[in-house]
Amino acid sequence: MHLTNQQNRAGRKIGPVIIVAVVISVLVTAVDGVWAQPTQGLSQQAHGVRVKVSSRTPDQVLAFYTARNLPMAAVNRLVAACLITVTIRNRSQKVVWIEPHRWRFVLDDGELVERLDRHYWDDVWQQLKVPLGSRATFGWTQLPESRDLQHGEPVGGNVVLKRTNKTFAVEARLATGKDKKGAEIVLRIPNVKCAVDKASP
Amino acid sequence: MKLPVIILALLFVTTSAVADGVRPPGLMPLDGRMAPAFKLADMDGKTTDLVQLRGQWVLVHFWASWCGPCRREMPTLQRMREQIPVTDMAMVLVNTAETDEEVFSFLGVVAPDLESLMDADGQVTAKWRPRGLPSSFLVDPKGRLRYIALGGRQWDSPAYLRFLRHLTLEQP
Repeated sequence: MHLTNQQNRAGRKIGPVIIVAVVISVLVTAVDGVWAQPTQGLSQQAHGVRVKVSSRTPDQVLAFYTARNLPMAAVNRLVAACLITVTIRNRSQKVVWIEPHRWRFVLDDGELVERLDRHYWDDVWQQLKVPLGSRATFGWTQLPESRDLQHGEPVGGNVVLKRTNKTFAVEARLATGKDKKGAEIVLRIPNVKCAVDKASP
Repeated sequence: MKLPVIILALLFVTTSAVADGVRPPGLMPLDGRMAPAFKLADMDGKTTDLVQLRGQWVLVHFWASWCGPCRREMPTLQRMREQIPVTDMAMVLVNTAETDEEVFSFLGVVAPDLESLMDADGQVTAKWRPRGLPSSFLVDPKGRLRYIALGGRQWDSPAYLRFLRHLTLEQP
């Protein structure tokens, strides 16, 4: 890439400005105290399968589900939980199975974090008399309970856990092969945290 | 001199015929079970009964305005619609569990020439068990599920248009 003299001059002027801006931004972040646990994007890849997890802050959960017209009572229940967005891409030649009920969410001390599955939410929505349309929308935002993933196919969705303030690992266990009889792929993503909102000033 | 020309011509015809029927990436064959029946209305109250569309191929597309890939895919469906006549292949859009306002404002911007049926409580979508949203099924003239598209696809790409045109040539 060739830069003209004018572009070079502009670059020389802008360079220090960018550095100062970055320094200020870092300082502001540090001074902010409880700098929010930002949305995480952690991933692992093995045997051609990539799993990425991103923890959603309560504010993000609130914005996401109110934008999808879920009643406030339902949104509040989700905000109080821990939402992890999972995306998986299968670049292997095998069929890979998404079955989050087989996954484990393991705290550093070995205890398990409880996953709040669709049955759990069905009961909650029933109690709260959430309309069927909203239940359906919620369902489509979740990672499928059991689904094959073909070569090249991506899938994404939320997994809801009981909120914890401890760090945990996501252990994704993926059966392979059309009949699930292939070698299991286990991907372990450590250092996952339930995201929290940035503290208000 | 004539023989090589004939061979070349035959080769060309054969290759084209095969290429026309080639299934594009992202389209997976299904087992041919019957498509679940539905009768849904659009925003104007006009009802579509899937059974009434027997005799031609039908593209059934499930979508929601909040899904990112739906936003990218919808204009390609509109452009595909412009190139494949309704008489050759029907297309049925089914919105999953959204309101008229949401659908109206989304389609108005993203694909103004398309209309969608409203699955207000999401129960029809659930019955079809799509792999996610968006999801598209190709239903053959006898009402059987023949293909499913994995995720959002570019329906107006040459590979898809060729394949769809080829399908419509199949005898009912």
